[in-house]
Amino acid sequence: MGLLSSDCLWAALPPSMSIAHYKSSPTEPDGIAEEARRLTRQAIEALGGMNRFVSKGNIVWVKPDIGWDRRPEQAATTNPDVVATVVEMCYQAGAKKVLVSDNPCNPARLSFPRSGIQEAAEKAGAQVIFLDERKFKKMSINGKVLREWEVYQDAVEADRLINVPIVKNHNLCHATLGMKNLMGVIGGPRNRLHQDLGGTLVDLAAFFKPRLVVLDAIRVLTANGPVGGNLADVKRKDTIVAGVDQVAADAFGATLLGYKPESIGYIAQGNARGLGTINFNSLSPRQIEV
Amino acid sequence: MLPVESAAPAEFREDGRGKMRRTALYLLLILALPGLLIGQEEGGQGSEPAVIPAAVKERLARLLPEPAEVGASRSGEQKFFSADLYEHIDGGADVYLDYGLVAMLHEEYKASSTDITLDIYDMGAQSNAFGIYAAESSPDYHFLPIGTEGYGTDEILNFFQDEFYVKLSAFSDKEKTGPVMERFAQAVSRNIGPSGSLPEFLSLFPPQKLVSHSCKFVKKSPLGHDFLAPAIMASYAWGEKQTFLVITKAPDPQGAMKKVEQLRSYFGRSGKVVPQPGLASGAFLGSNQFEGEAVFLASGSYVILCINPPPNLESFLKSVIERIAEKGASISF
Repeated sequence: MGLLSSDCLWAALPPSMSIAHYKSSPTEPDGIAEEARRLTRQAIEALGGMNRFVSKGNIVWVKPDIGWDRRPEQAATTNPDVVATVVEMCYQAGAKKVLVSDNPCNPARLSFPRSGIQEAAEKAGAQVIFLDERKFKKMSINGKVLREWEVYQDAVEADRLINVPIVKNHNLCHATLGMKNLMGVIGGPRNRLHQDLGGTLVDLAAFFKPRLVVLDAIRVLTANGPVGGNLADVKRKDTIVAGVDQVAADAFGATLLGYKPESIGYIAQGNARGLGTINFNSLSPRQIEV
Repeated sequence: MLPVESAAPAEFREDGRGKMRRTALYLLLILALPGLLIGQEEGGQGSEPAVIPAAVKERLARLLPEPAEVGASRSGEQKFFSADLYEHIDGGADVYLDYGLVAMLHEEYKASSTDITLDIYDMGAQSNAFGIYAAESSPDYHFLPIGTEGYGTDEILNFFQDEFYVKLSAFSDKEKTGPVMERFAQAVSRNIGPSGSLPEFLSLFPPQKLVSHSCKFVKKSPLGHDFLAPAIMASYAWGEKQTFLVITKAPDPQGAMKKVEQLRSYFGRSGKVVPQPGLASGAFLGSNQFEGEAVFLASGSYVILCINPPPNLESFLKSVIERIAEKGASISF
């Protein structure tokens, strides 16, 4: 048996980031649903498929943004068909159970159904959970800002965490992306988290280390985030990013909002603390046109 | 010519009732301040919501429409927020707090197949309510004659009136939501009182070539400079060219000169700055990679900053200086 050169070995490794873009920009609901499903599937398959991230018998916690009483068209919450496709792929990879939830700002009884995520994820076989206050447990985060904090126990105990944020503007930190989305698996007073938001988000990202990030940029809320509401603020980017490097995924997401990744505090801090790379191009992301 | 915002000075004057109400509110807030501070501290430490004085809550609750009046029933738990607004709108709360949020009331309704949420923000002063309203709006929105001014789409309707910023959202799979939101908005507007007029400080903007609905009131760090706060801003269109006008006021002319000096220093550090004595006494032209070109000068207690100056800069500045001379003495912000 001949020895493989290091170049050959490198070439054999699956990429750690993929960017799938839809050539057309359908406007009908069915067309957008088809777009979301195809882009999500192809972006994850480009990384080697969901089997790379989920093993047989795993319990998977899927974390979309369901924080707001908004319809999918308003782009404040993750596209429901992106979430449903991630759930389906987890089961196809052998997951025993897929849980979908968020700790929303608006009441879950409104935001979960309004976002379309509850119905779509349940149809795909997920258990959509309304978080139980009693299950937030104070845990050691050991971060630079957060020493300990209330974390949702089931999310930590799941075998895998898959982060499925949406790309959107944020009045305070310019962009809500993957690291910011992790605030939805913790409890406690949010105003304290905002006192050093950048440091907090990097601490959370280091603590949770999601196995996979699937960034929804089909519709992007470009102003008045995170709540939004006005369709005039929503722009189509028709893109899904999948990756294992949460800093790189966020860095690319920032560019979709017109920001230099270095200008987003938590992305720069995540890079500086070695959580991932801000230079997403260095990962040679697999580009897919669908 | 582009549509312009009307700026008749008489419309900007408060009536006596408004002043009395405001005075009463300030007294109330002074009395309630210890409670508010305790509330903030509790919010910061963890578990308890911010404490909001009962009188503030009652004042907000009185603005709610009667369910029968709007053909709806209340469907959720009534909630109040102040320093703990993060729990309701997460990072969006910072801007509201910067604009001096006193308290917010959240209420939910059901009307036939439509779900409606109503958020009423008491911002403590009309300038603050306008500030946050304008911060969240854009000239390309669909504006509506509701309250002092509002805008809406199929699923949201926002307006400001007096010191209140009112935000409605509605969802239905079966019917158009615009009429029901309008019903709610008109009812809340009636409960607030007279629809009022735009803040007086906006009359400092010359109306010619002003981009309609582009005026802003920025309370914190305009253009990233704390020394310019607070400031009013507006866009002007000269064909393809857009000019951005920033006006701020110092306590006295010496204070205005100091701000000009700070601008001169900033442009000197970040690019270059040269005097423009031919344009106006004490005027400077600064340029850097961030703002591009900008002309700035003091006019009495005011500072005028004109970014991306128009072709007819001299006459444009003259019109700004004239309006400041005419109206500026009585205006504060």
